[in-house]
Amino acid sequence: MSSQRDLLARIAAGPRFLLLGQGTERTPLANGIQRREWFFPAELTPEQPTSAFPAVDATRLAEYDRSVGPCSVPAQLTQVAPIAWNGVLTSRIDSATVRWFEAEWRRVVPLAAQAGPYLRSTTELQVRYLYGGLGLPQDEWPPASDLEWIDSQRNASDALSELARNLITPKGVLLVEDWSLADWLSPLDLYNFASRLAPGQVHVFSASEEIAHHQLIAAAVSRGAIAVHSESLGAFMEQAIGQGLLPEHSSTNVERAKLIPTHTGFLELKVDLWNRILGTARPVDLELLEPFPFAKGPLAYQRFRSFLGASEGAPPWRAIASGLKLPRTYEQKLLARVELALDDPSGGRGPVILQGQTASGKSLALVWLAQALARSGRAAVLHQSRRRDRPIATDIEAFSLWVEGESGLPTVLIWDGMADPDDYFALDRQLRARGQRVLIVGSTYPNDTSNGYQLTAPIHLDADEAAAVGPWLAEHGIVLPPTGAGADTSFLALLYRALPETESGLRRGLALELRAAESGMEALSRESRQQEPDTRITAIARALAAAGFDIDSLAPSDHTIEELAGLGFAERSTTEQLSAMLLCAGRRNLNLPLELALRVVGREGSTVITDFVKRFDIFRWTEDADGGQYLGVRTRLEAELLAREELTDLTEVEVATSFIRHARADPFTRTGGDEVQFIVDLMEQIGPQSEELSRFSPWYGELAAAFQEHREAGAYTHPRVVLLEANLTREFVKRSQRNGELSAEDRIVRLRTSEDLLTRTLEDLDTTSRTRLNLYVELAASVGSQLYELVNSSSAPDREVVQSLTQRLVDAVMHARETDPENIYPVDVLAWSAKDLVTAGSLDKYQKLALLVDAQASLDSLDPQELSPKQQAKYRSRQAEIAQMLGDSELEARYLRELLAIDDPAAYYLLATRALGAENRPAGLGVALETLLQAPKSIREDWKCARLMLDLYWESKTGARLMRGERNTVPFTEEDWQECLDLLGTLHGAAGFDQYKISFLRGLALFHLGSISSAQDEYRRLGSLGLDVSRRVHLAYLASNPNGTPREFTGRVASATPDGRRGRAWVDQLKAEVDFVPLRFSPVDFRSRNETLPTFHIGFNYRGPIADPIRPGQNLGSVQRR
Amino acid sequence: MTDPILSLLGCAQQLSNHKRMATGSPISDPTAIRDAYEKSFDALVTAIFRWYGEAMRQDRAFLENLANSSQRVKLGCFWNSLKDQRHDKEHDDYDRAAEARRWREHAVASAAPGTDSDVLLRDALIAELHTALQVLLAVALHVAKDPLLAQSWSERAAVTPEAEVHNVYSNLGLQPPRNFEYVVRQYKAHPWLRSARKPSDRAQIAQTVVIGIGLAPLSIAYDELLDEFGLVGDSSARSLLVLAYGVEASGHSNASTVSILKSIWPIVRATA
Repeated sequence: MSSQRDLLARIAAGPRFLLLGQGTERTPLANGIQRREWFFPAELTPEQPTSAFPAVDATRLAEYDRSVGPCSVPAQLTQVAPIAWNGVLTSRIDSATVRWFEAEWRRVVPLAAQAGPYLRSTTELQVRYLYGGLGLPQDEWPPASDLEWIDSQRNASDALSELARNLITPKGVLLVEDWSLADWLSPLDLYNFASRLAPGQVHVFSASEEIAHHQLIAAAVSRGAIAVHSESLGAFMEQAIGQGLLPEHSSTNVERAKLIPTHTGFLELKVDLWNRILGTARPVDLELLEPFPFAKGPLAYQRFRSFLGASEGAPPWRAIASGLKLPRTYEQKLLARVELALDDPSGGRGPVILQGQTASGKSLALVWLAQALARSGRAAVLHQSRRRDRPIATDIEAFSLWVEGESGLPTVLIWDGMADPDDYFALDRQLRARGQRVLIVGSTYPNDTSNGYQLTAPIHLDADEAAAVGPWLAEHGIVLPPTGAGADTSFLALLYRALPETESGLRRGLALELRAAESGMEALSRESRQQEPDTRITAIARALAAAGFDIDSLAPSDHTIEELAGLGFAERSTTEQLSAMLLCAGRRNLNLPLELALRVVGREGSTVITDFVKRFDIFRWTEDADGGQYLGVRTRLEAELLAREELTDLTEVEVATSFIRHARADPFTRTGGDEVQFIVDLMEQIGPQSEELSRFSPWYGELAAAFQEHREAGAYTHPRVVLLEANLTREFVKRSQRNGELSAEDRIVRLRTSEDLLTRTLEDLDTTSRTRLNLYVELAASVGSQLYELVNSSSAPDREVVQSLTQRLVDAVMHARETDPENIYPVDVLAWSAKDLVTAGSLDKYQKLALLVDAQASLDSLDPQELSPKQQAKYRSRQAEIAQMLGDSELEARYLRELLAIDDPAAYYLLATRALGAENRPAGLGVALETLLQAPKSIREDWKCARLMLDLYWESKTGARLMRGERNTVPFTEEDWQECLDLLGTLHGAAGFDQYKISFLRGLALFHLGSISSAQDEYRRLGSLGLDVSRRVHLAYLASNPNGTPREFTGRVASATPDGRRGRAWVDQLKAEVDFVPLRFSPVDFRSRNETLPTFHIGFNYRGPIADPIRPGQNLGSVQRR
Repeated sequence: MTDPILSLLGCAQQLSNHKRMATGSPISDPTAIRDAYEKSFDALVTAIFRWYGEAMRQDRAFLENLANSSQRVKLGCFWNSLKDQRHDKEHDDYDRAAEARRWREHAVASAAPGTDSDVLLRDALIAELHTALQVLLAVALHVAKDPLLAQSWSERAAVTPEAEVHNVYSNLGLQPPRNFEYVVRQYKAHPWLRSARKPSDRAQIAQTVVIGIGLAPLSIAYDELLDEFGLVGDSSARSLLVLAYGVEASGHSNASTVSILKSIWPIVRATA
């Protein structure tokens, strides 16, 4: 019947969950234990549902578990267990049940009902023991008393609620097997659960007459909430598989193996690493490289049309592997650029970024690139489409280490994130700091930056591409007039809309309208050359309308377009609300987490959503590899065209505030989960850092208020959400400074509240280092804005208040820099704050100079070489601004002398840097250092002076900047090292973010002074800081002789891992062990204890001393002793 | 020491992976060879011939065509040995019986006294098959990385009976069932196949086989159904039953089937 078709479709599409009951029979323990088959003890079944819980001695329970533990899969479950379930729930308590689901291609995780988090992954299958399990930790055991029984019933009920609310989705299905009226999960529980779902979502198999006629079950059946089947689930599956209605599950182990192509074969990725990396990116394995089997006729046409209609959020891997895509000229250039970067032995490559407008084919090009690279076996490829969280460096590192260890291949991460180029550079820096050979390929919107690392996906077809369009379409029976060179690529994105659904329709000439569209597009291409994106979209809409396309018909509407545009979000029908949400997200290339969408539209939405997506082809429901469910649009271009008709800015703000009010953070992930990520992504596109700033800034106050309301309603607050609230508040305040929307007092109050909120969040909540950095930067900005308000107020600011705020500003910046010493953002906040405050004029002379010097020193402490090109530009501009203000001779001349008189460190810093600015660098260096050394000792308590003194000392002694270059030798005598150590001991004021340098140098000095264990302690402390500084794994220095030659050492293997990635070497001269990487010495040797190593050097990176093989002709950096 | 059968199956798996990457379909399943290896040399010859000689014929021919001369020599060598053993076993008057015998003598020549010669013959044949597969694998590795060659392989693979039947399942929105190989055998043995000239004729026959084998028995006894319509002994009976299968394939059964047939049978009858 149709219900069976519906059931098969639900099972095939998922999410699919299994509820396994306690069996239809009960056996007394004494009898059951004798048998070799699984059973559920009769003693554990209450006589009546309301009876007291029948307590059974724990020893007997353990005996029960031991007796059923070795049982093999019961016959009725042999077809059931191998299915790729998204989750299994059971009222059973034994530990055998979980074992039956084990398979090579998935990891099975047994959990109690209450243990979080809940996942939907098929490769990390959660088996939930609703009432506790005998194989779980003792506090998750089944109930042993009436009170525990009540608790466990509540836990089971909560688990079912979670399933109904957040896991099963309106598309999913729960199949119940081995359940009876005597089950701990009562008919009432099942009835309540099924009542929360749509008809056709709960199916009870092996249902006896007694079950079918039970009052509650029968009632649920009559309403369609439950369907009962007398046959077993196994028999049902057997029949469906036999008829080819469902795929075979039991024989798919080989096909499910995750195989990564290499030069000569394939590497099998084990399920643990697979599950780990999947949260970050999808490995491009054999499954993603397989084309469709060859076909002609209607099947080939359907595949082609489906490919053209594929959602941007779900890459059409098979179609691209089958060559269904129109080849673009720039793709070959992109591939060549990536191959060149992979060939670069220096490893100094940065990211490769593909920029381009909407519908220029970037995403398809990146999928094509991923396949081309993976197929060639030149690199292991990871691909991340834009809707996911940002890639996690540690996960990529784990993957890269595995790939390199197994095959020697580098890793390429293709991150189609449409993110700011800085994000790619930041991840690149993070991975390089971890010593990983990972090349990042990213995507971004067009920008003005013209750099070697960017490549453009043109929006116009070149002559070759245009000539290829005809033959490409003709392969699928589509005949069009020749396409002219320079045609707009939006034509390709909209082709799907012009093609009939069937090949017979195409043959009957239903593609005639395509000709009209094509000519419209040709006209468009003539007009739109070199157009701005916004103008281009308008022109596309005009061309479509002229061609007879009714773009509005793509989305549901109970109102006319004119009415709709004037309707608020709340006044729209449920489908119009869903449409508005998806258009708002889709025009920004975002996919909406399903649960968030359902929460916004409420229960009514969940009943219409499946039909909504089926009926309106522009909307797509996608599932990612680990079971995440999303709603999105087919293409961003269509969403943009429709949104322009249907959504006003105000409606979009209402949609955004609805998202904010209904979003939930996942307390089990540090990044907050999909919904927080979605909100963060949305704010990136409409918030203060977006290109839509001017459009949406009038509503930042409303958006900030929505965050505040959400937080005050007691919802779990995530640090990333707090950050957004504070940022929007600050921007709202800034805007109010100009338009007077808020009084000065109100503005200060709001900023103060933000400061408190940020401080509390930093104190109370566990955050990732990236979020921590951002929170501190925002905190600094918030304090800077308060200062700005104060100095711009009509009355003279209180000096002490200004002093205190300035200190808080600098403190926040210092904390931010401790988190990431090489990040420009905290430095930038200090620089713009200083500039704004000094320009405002109300600060006194000392405060001005001190602030400017702090800003200058902060800028000086960054190495611009480690910044992205965009950040470098910002850095230089800030440097110029501060230098210009400091160079104000009037300012300097008037106050420097006075500051010196009171031993202000700012004055000494300024004097020293002035001396450095002299043309004769070595001489200037000496004068500058002498200035600081002769100054009162108290200046060493100042972070600026401490840092400068260290830098100047090192440069004056060695002639080279500290920590630059690789494998440098240092021609220091013992006295030099001791002097260096003594100096380090006096730099008490060094900033937290400088401690890693000080620790490194102290370790280096101690080593050269023979205190090996003290040196190693120092490096251990350094390692515990967990910094991702860019030179963490670079061997900056080699152990050196006083004459500047590298010291040579002998020794043998103390221990080594079989993969040659880690080891310890005994060093004869030191009488101590140091780290060594056997692979660096030989691909196969030096894995066994006591193997003698060839003579080696000892190098130093932030991890400590490490044995470094001597390579013939090694080019050593040598610094000289002055 | 590595198990020769495991090595062989591993090599076949690699070949299959490369074929998947190039064409989207795996090679034919070789696991029957493992069972035959446990039995006897004769059983092994039959199993290898069925797999390598028949099921793999198209893939083998395609790859061999792209092989270099030394690779072709190796493949030709093995193919001759396999054919010799197969035909020598099957035909008393096989004209290369001497070569077949010499191969067997050579395979057991270095055996220690008391060694089971049948085992030695099996090992020798497996070793030669392994060598041939390694050659095919080397060519497949090259093909899988070349989009044009991969496309050719894909087109070539599409004309096998397996691919033709598979295509029908895809068009019907069905998964290839567990008894897929049985379906293919039925297709290959279909009496109309010999007279099929065009690919579309073959596809029609494949479709007939797939539909026929996939039909579940009717929910109502067929004679009762015919009786219900007064068609027992009537030549139109077949037409009614085919219609009944169509009705039941869409999910109806029992009384519901009869009810629908009652409404449509007169129309069919009237227009016949």
